[in-house]
Amino acid sequence: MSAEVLRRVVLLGPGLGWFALFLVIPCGIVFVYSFFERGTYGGIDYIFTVENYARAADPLYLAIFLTSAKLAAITTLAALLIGYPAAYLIATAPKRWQMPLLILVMLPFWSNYLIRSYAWIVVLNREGLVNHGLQALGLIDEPLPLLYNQFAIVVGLLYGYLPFMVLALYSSISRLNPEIAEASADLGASSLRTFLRITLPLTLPGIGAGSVFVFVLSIGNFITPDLLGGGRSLMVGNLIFDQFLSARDWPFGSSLAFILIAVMLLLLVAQAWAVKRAQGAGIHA
Amino acid sequence: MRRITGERRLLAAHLGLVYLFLYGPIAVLVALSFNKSGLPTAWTGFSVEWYGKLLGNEAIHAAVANTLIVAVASTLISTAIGTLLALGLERLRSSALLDALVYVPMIIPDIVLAIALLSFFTALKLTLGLHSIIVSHAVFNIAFVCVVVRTRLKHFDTSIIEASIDLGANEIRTFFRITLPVIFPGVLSGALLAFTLSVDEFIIAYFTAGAGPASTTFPMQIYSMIRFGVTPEINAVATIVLGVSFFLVLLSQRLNREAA
Amino acid sequence: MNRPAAVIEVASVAKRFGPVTAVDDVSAAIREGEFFALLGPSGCGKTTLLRLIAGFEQPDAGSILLDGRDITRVRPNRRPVNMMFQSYALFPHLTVRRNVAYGLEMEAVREPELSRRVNETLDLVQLADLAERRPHQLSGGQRQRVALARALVKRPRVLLLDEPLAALDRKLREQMQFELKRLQHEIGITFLVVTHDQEEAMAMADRIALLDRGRIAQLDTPRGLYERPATRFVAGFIGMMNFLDGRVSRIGNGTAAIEVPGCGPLSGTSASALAMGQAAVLAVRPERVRLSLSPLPGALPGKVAGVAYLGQDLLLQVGLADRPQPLIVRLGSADAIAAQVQPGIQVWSHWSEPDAGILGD
Repeated sequence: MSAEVLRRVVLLGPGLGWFALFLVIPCGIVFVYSFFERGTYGGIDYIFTVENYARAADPLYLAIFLTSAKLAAITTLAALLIGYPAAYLIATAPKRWQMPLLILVMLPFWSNYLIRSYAWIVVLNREGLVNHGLQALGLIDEPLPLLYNQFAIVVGLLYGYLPFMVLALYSSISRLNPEIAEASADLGASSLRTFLRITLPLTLPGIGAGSVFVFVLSIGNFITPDLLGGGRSLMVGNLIFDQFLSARDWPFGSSLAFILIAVMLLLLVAQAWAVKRAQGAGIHA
Repeated sequence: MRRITGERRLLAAHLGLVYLFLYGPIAVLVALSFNKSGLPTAWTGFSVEWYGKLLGNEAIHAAVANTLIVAVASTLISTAIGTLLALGLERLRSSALLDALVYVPMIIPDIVLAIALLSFFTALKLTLGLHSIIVSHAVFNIAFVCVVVRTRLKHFDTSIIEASIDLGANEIRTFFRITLPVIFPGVLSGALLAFTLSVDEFIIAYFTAGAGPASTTFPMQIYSMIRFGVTPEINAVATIVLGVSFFLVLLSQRLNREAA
Repeated sequence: MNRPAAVIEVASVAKRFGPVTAVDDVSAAIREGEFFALLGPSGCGKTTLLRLIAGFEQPDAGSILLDGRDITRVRPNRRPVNMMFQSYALFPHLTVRRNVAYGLEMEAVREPELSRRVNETLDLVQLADLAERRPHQLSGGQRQRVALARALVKRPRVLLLDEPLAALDRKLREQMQFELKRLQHEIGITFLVVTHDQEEAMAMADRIALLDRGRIAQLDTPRGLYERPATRFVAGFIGMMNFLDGRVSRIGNGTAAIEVPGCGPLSGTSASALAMGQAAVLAVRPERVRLSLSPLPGALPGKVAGVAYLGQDLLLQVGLADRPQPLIVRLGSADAIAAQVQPGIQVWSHWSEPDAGILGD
């Protein structure tokens, strides 16, 4: 074996082998299962069918897909609107403050996701801080149902992924050549116009990347809708969970998983294509 | 030096609110963990009672031990394999397809990876336990370590490899005496990331752990505490977990800065 | 037994990278103890040739000999040849001392011999008091000396230097040119330098191989390259040169003449074989052109278009009638005529036949 080939095998072999065995094959199995029927006792009858995918189009399940997309979209939009000004400030702050400010934003992101969703159970429940505070301020008489519904899910998702959006936007904004904004001002544009016509378009790749990732992470999320959604299968993640553990309909669960992956891949490919186009136009993430 | 203009004041206020949003709930949890009554409704006095109860909680001890075993094992495996993979991808100029493959474990929804691994293990009729969790965690950890080390490699001056060979070392000696020490901060960073991810990981562990407390991990324990029996101990658990992860992140940042 | 005078010999070496031929049938012999330079524009193959000698590339054809022994198949870590890398390639995690000692450790040199040789070499490059520093704590010039010391301590048969001065600023570069030459002279090791800077090569090297697109255009001493360029490429690459294109109108014994449109027949020395009517060029150095303020038979009439005062010299652009390209003329500032030249005045340009060369295209 030549030195070059040996090098390849030693370096790439273990990693790619691991992925092949514990990623590609398992996903392949799931793909295959999605075309089989559920057995009587929850096993698998190896009879080919596309029934599972047809069933996924059932209004009941379609509604769940749409709800997932809706909640993910709201979360993404909120993260974008809240995250952009924050990222902008950090990116334009004096150099030695940028890292600390950014780390402060990212710290919660690195802690346990369960805890982060649990925290909102405490804050949003009928006797929680928010309701308490609003009642104390005299703004409401009865506690608001802030928990175990779609509102709570969005808050939970937003809490989970806002730091990530800020990071993505910060990367993009901090890479801008400050002289471009200065040139715009020099040519007579106001701050607002400079922002809308120069800064915003140039940070579009960052916005795209951040949004796609937050959307994808949100739509496939299990923990937040499970803890904050009220125990009903409100999102795709919960649905798949149920199919595998309660309903024991692995084939159906597999088909749902694959539809989810398909949607994700579509978005990622669209984003990659958009980035390529932006790079062609001279805009870099 | 930027002048503090009106709009920057507005932005600063906004950032302040963002921090409030991010740290408010955390502050509440921490405060509650020291609340004698343990309930969010009334503050009955400072107490470390809940931490005390935690110390006596056998189930949690077992779960923490399991989590550490899984995290250490999967970190060791993924750091070694991930580093080799990063070196391979960076130096052997492989295809864009392989590059993309490495990102898949990072971006795939964890529920999908969880069911895929469960299906795989049951199809092979393997018994589940800590070992299956370790193997499963290694899947995404290898990807993360690879990405972190690769970023580090981008600043690596490959001519020092040639210099080492020119001075008489063979490939193996060069790897251990030159390559590894120089990329070590990146490797350590990746390892720390892998460890953190493994410690926090819930859903894949839930699916691949199989039955029984012998393979219950800490996040699994937290989940059942939240879902099925909210006692105020959970606030103490939450505070400790948050404290440890904050510490680790800051430590990792320190290491990164020193190495840069 | 007599050691062959050539320490490195490349014989018909060729190297291709895909469709690109980087080195095309190159043969050369580098003598023991000489300071040899591989010179040429980027892409000419000089770095590839260096790497072939170091062993980091394998030739597609030909062989490389060291002291008469074929080392073509010998791995780079086994060749008694060491390289100073363009980026210096210092080991960032090791001190200066450990960097320099590295090569000796690979040879299993033990204490006290190890420290003795390291200290000796550190003294040679004047880095003794920086021995415990790390590379990031050193300046560019200091790092370069570490790279040099690291290679020299192994006492290689040949020291290869890849663009050794490229990363240094101008003043330091000029200083280091002398330093390297002095060092080489003192140690006596054969130096093989790759550079794209012809002034640098001319200043340091005993002999230079000028490469053009993978082939050696001329291998000669600096004086030989400057005064007797063999081809148009060589003439134009080294120093400044005036070129007048025309067709061969007369062939003599060691001389020739070409018919230059607008100037009539001009003659010069010719070394290569030329054919009547062949397209050729007359090459004459700016400092060899004489100017007259009054008409001279056989001289080319023209007008001074620009004057650049360089301190010691004047550089003039002289526009010739019917020719788009001006003649570049170099005069000493102290010359009698220097005081009188100004833009716009009429001058007549001439040179003696031995000072001009006729080169085939």
